[in-house]
Amino acid sequence: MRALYLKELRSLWPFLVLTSLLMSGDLIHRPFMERLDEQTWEGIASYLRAGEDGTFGWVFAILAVCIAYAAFPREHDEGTIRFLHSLPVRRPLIFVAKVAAGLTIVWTGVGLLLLTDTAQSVWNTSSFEGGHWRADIALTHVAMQVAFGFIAYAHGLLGSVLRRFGILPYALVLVVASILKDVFPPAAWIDPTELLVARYEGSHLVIAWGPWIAHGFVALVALATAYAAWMGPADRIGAGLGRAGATLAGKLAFGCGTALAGVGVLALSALVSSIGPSDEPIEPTDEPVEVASIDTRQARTARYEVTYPANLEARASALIEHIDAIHAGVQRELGADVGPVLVADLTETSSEHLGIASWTHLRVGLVGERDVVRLHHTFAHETVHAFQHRLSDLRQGDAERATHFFAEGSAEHVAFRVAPNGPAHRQARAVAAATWARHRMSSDDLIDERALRRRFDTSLVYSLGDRWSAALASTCGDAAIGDALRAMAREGAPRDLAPRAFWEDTLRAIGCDLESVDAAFDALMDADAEELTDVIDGLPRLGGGVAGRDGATVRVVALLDRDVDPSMTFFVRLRSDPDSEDTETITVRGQRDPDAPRRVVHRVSRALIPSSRFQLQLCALDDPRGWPFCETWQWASVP
Amino acid sequence: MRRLGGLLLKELWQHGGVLLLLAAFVAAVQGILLLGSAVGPRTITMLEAHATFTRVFLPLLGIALGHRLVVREYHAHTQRFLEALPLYRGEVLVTKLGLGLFVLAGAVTVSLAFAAAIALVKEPLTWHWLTLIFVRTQVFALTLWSVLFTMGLLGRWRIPVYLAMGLVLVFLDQGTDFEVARFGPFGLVSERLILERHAAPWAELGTSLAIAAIALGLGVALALLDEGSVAESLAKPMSRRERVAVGVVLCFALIAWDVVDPKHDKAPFDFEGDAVVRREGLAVLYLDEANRGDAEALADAIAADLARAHDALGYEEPFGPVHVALRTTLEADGYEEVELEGEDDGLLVRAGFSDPAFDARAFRAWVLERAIERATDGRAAFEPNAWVRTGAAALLVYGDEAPDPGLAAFWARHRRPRYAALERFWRTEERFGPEVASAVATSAAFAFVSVEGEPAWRAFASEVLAPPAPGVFAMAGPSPRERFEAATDAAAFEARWAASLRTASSGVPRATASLSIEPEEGLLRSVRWGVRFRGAPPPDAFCALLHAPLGPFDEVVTPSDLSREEVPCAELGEAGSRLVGRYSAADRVLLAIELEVPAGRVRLLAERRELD
Repeated sequence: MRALYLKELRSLWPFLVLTSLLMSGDLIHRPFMERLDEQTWEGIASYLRAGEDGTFGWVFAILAVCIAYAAFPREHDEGTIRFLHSLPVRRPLIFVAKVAAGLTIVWTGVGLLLLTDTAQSVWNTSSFEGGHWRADIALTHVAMQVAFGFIAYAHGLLGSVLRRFGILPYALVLVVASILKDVFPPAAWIDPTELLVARYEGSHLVIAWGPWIAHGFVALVALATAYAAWMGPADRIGAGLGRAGATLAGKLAFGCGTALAGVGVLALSALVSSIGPSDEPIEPTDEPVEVASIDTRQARTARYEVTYPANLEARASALIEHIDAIHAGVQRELGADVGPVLVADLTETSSEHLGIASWTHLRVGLVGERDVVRLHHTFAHETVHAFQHRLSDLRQGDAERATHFFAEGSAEHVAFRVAPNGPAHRQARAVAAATWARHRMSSDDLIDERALRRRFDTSLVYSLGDRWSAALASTCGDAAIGDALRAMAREGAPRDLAPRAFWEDTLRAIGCDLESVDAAFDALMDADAEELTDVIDGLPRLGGGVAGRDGATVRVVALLDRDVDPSMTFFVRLRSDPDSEDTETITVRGQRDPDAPRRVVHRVSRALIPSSRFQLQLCALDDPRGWPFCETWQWASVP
Repeated sequence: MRRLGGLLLKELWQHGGVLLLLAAFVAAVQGILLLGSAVGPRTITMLEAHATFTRVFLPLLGIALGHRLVVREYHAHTQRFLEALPLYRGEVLVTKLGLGLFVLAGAVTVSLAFAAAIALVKEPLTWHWLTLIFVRTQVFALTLWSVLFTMGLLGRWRIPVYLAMGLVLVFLDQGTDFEVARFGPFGLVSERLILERHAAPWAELGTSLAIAAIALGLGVALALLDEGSVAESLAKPMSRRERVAVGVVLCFALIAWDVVDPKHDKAPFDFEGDAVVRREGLAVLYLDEANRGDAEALADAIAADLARAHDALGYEEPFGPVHVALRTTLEADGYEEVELEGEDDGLLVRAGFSDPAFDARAFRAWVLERAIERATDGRAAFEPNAWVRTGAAALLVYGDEAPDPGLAAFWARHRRPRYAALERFWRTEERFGPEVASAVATSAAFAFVSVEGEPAWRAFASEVLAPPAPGVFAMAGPSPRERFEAATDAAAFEARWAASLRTASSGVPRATASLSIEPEEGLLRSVRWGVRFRGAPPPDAFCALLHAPLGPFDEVVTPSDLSREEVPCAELGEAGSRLVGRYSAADRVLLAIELEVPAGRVRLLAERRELD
């Protein structure tokens, strides 16, 4: 057995070279490019940064899978496995020797990574950043990497049974995981690369035991299956099936079976899609539930092809009367040509948004929206998006990190001009000004979507973006919004710029200046804060967090700093980490404590909380149809 | 034709099981994608399922199919049996090519048909629109299969060629104006694949067909050249060493990529418009004509500072461009530095220089600090060097008129003036506040000059603040402490420094800050804080609790990262104030209590705590 292990190890030595380079290759260039006495440990070992994305996990997983693929396929394809079988070593031990050799290479990479990252980080002796290396974090993360290496290797071994086709089922699993993550954010743990994402409680690394146990168990099953396939009965069963499949009857049976399975899946999908998306809001509502009928009607105007639910014909007709005028207004505001006829789908039902748009398509929900003024505004907003995509030749979406606030903000700005809604605009301005002043935000927080997402309520892109667009128009002229969009699509516009650089470049292309716009924006926000003091003073500050746990329910308490109107509502948002998308955020409504009106309790089912260490944001809503005032995101733990 | 039929039957007999499995797989994938589109929160059209299938699963399917139909045949040398038959080589090729194309084209057709059938329930599909999608996906499938088929004939070199092609494409995309996502076949399956209802992508279609033709030509040449011996010799399996050699080359390529870091260039940063005062290497944006006078005076002074600093510190290169922007909403002493991306962008700072309370000299010293940092690639901000940077900037701006050392005198109430405190500049900054730390460094620089004279300071400062050598070579040579000890008598310096601070008046009232963590419901914690003055609190003073959550690793926390709860000190009272429930047990936080008086902002207390 030992000789076999050493033989396998010898045959894998080239992988050791590859592993060393992948894990510790930075040793070749970092010392010559960077001053090591200014580098920090987690700066070098970036996988230790809190909430860092799963890139390291992906690279590590691919490496482990490559090593696993080197174990058996070739021995079988070239028939050399028979030589191994002829040795006086039992089959399980052959399997163990191969797996042990593979894992030795994977784990050696882990050890090397620890050593070289540590060696490069000991030179920093500065007062804060010098003492970053900590044995508890280093050893815990190494243990996580060791376990992750095993999990990836086990799946690699199983995938290798199907040779190249082995990637297909795993690709399918990843797609399913991605869909699940969108539909039910707490299911994000299914993505195995999430396992290596570092989360901390205080100064301690948190281990999410649940996902680790689940993935470990699945990996063990994969390993056992791989054993059965490569060394055990499956080998013989497979050969038998192969013989059976070679006959006409076998092929027919096999084909009919698979076709039947395929038809079953399709039938199921058709059934679900005919039911429509189940956007059941988590926030309870007392209003009667209105639904869109499956039966739809179509209408055509000069500028739109409209589809709407048959049961909401009156509401749709009231809107359709005005949509060409809305289109003309948007066109005028943006200085655009007419463009193609747009597809407007009014059957949308979503608890996540009022509407969405892309290229020539827009979807706006009629369901539950009885306020005609708001409906016109939403429709105008989505129409602006369609114009944005065309004028910028979709470049706006390519640079989404820099343009998200502008896409939504300028859509709001133009929509408020084309379909005015005074009270809603005033409420949005008040919330924007309150957040701006209380959180001491700067325009740099708004321009960079990632910076905004890390600390603030992402819906601020609408209200603050509207004010920034107003500042742009006042500084650079009324045509500036449309001109900026066209500048994004200009020939030779540099790509992949950081947000600030993107806007410097875009505004310069239209003869304008970002600093001047930002200065005007700052002044506008100060003026709004002064003008709307009465509204802002009515919005409470919220302190609080996870207070405790009652069985399967986690209690999140918010404490208000002032008495507020009884009609005000409260909610808490939950997300896994600062990089989570809006669609991966869960919202739970809170209840005022009847005995203590300044105390709000949010009871959150443990199943909805995305991970043991997560982020929460406390929000207050003074107008059920308006924007909320939210505190900054804060970390919390499940008790 | 009969021969082709026979060949086709042979292929179907050999790969029939796999093809049926693939059919089931395609159906399962499409079903899942349709489900995903149906329940996805941001689905625009159900046709998105078809787009995802085409972009993600079709290439995977193609790779697997290419391996099965081409690579394995040559790898196992079973093509020799076919070659022994009375067939043309081209017929074998055409059969495999046709079968693969049929499978891929069939898969996307089925995918589109299912997606369209479900989309029809609610969406206004048109034949023109569906035809556009159909043509786009069919041409994409043809191009994809042509490339994959030819790559399969490259045998053991196909993986390195895939990798090389991938790297070249990414390099072109990131380092040049070439856009992969909008090019040929990639453009066909871009975002517009399912959303464009009117315009046909003629350019992308033409490019894709050209690529397909070239790939097929190459494939045919490879397969037929020298009676097929080229393809056969390429098909020999790669040894493990060859595989790893490819991996190593790839790793080095990635390392080289990391070093070269290709990216798109933009024009260097500059202000646009007329409201800008310009001097050599300097631009001041003043927004409104009323501020022009202030801007010109400031520009003249900063330009002179930069010229003096350049000579004094012996820099060979000029300072990069310095941009000063007026921001009227900033407080008179609230300066901001904006991080610019490009190397040629220079420095951008903001200040409210039109405010009558604006202290131009303090701002100029601050700007000079930032310019020195840029000139030294950030080395001047390295902790043991930071006080020299601040001191050198102050000496150059203030000249013989030493600024009021009041805040440094406040610091000297709590700490003994020792070089060790200068070495730990960031600690001083966090504990006592940036204004105090700056005053401490300035007073130390003036003390140094009074002990050793200005030429000795210049020599010392220009040595410490010299542009560093790259990488670890910057760490060679004497440490900052050794340089300091070589430049001055440390004991004499510390004695003179202490004496200069002992006689100065701080202008900060004597006060004690208190901070305690109070348990709230469950895990919630509140912070109670207060300030007790010796005597009555100054009427114009503000007290503030500064707080920020900390990560697991200690880093410098900049003032802009700190939340601030400010109240007039007179209103604070005996009980102090409470920050309710913002943090929980086990959180790490930075808590500081700051006092704002006319002399400046000083921190009475600052702690990093892990809450119980």
